[in-house]
Amino acid sequence: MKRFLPWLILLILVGGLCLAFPPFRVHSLKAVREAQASKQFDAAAFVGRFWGEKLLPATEKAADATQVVAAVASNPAKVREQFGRTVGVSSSYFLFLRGSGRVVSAGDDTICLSLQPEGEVAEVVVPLGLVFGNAVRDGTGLLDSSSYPNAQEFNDISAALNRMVETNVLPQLQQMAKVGTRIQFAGCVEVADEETDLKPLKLVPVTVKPE
Amino acid sequence: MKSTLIHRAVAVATACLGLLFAGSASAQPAAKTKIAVVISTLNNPWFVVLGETAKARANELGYDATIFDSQNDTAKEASHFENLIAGGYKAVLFNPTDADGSVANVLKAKKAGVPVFCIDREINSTNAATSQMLSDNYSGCVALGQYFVKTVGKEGTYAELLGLVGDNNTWNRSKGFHSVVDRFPGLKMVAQQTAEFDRAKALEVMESILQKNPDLNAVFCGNDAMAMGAYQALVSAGKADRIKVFGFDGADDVVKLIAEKKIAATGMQFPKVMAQKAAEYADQYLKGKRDFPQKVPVKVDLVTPDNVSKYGDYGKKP
Repeated sequence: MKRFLPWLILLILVGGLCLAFPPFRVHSLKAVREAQASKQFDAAAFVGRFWGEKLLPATEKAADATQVVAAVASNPAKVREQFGRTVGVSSSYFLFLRGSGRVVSAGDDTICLSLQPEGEVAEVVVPLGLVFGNAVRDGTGLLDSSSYPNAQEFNDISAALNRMVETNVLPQLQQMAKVGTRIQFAGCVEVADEETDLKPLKLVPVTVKPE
Repeated sequence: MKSTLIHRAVAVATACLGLLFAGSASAQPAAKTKIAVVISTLNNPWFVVLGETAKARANELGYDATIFDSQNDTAKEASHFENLIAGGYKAVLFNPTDADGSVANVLKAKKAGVPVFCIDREINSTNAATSQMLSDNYSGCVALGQYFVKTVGKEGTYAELLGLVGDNNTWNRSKGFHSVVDRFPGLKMVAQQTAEFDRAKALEVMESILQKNPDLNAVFCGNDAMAMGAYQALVSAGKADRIKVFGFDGADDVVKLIAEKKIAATGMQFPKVMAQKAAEYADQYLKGKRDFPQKVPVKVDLVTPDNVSKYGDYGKKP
């Protein structure tokens, strides 16, 4: 017994140290997953707040669509310089505009607007159906990728914004768009190819209402 | 008297010799400032282009640039960082191996006063690197996904080959692609497996997928090296004309096969633009500039048989 006493004391000391300063901890997988889920970025909730608090108020400062269309007609090369927003290194750019237009056609795939009071030529086209791309996220300048450590959060915001357009804005537009009616709108345009994307402007609307 | 004269002669001769050596020392060129180019792997031609372009631009700007190969190993990458900090490198052009694992290496450099400019791949921190030049992989794959639906149709089966699971780009690309394709319930993914961005692994994985799914319509690969491996497997199986292959990167070999309509599409990432810009940022930093954007997205262009003539040599043709 005396021979084992020092080992017993050592064991008790080591045991005490491990209790006070555990070399590892055991957590249940469920608890870890719940903790991770609570930290995960909720893009839908973010966009819900962003849409009402920042995006819609910002439409007041969007460029006048009539001026943009006039610039497209007179000097397309200047449109980017005057009205465009480029994100990072890119040959594409975005426009953020508002205006009112007369519905010249309302089909299953698109709704076409003329900005002229009695115009028949489509100057702004709104594609219907699924919305992809970053026009709404990047077109306004309100959001910056540098604020997000993980690009996926920034990408999730884009997808959530597109869903808002699909579920909230486009159905409203389809309901009110009858040939001859006038509609006020604000939204964003991505210009990837100036030969095809300026005439007409393909608009992703963030707000529409009858005039 | 005679000894005084001798002493004076020796003193004058010594002074002349001293002036001669001082003159020759000041005539020697000052050592160039060293910049490190740390690349995740040189086992992939795309990353070789990234590294060589960064090095060449840094050299053009007057620096002495050296490439370090991390061999896709975060531990090796850490060792490079320790060596380059100790070795007096003044800036790092950095292609990370792991979005989380590489943060500690960048912070070490930052603590040592060495700015780090990430190229192509991000790290999950916005206050470690001085700036990050990042391909917009997600948006590039959204465009690719839209083209996939257009060419494959709204119904069919496909497989997906993923890249390295620890690389944010793997998931940015996959999620971008799925954000489109998953909206079409008629398109079913029958297999999704990592081939680690490697051509040889992709060949093996594709062969295995084909055995279980001989009637696939398409395969989406998270990079062009894997697209080449998958294409090779399809050629061996006699199915290359029936199963469409989609890649991502803009590698020369895939661009050539797109021109021949043997591969459906890829996303051009512009490695040369990113690498050159990172070197230029490092130069600006070393000359005193401090206000850099934390993230600079670089747009990815969709390359298809319709526009492939505009692309080549890892970029857009002039």
